[in-house]
Amino acid sequence: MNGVPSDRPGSPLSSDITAEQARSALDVASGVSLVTSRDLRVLVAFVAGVGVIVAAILYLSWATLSVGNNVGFAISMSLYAVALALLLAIKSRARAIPRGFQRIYNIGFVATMTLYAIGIGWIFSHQSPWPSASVVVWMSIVTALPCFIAAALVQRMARA
Amino acid sequence: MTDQQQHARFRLDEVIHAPVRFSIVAALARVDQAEFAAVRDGVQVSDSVLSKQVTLLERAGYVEVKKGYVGKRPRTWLTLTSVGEAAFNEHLLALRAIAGS
Repeated sequence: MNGVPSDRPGSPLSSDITAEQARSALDVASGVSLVTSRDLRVLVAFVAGVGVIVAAILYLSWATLSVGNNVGFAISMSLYAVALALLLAIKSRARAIPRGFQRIYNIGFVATMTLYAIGIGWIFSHQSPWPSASVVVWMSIVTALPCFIAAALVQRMARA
Repeated sequence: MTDQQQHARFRLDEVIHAPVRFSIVAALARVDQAEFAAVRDGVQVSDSVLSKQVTLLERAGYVEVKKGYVGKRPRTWLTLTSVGEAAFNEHLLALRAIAGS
């Protein structure tokens, strides 16, 4: 097997090593990759999915509360929790998480949640009249944007 | 004799020195975390060999082992610690110095 590690005498690093053996070990170090394309697809879908559901909950908050539908708002929040749990279950299917993923995701998630909080605050400070649907749709898209950018960065990690 | 005067081979890490452990650490250095099975497949060793080597790396403080469940299935996750990452980087520097000499 190519690059298979062993503890045989004379294999790289097993004793005083030569320059050639050191180069061979460095080749092994740069050649081992645990993250599969499937893992990346799962992680990209997870990050983008978080953006979509946070954007959706912003829109649904407006759509339900602007017409006084508190039950609809509660249902949409429940759906949000279910969707988030589903996404976390999908994420857990990735067998390896590439280095830097968690940092990129955290930044994207915090930025998206910050925009969500700003959006909700703005919507509820403009209740008479409530903002139009088109405005809220745009706000929702902007809210999801950090997670979409994070998903694109995770996708790029595969090519790096 | 100062560190700078020592031959680079003296800076090779004794724990990472062994080929299997070197491959495990090299693999973990490129991920935030990985499942035991992913490391086993990537490094191409048996469960028992990986388990034994991971235990040694864990004792050295180089690898953190977390156990959990995905659904009802048990999973073991491996993470290179900051100590392990520093040791691996130092080991790579020594290797590069040897390779370049």
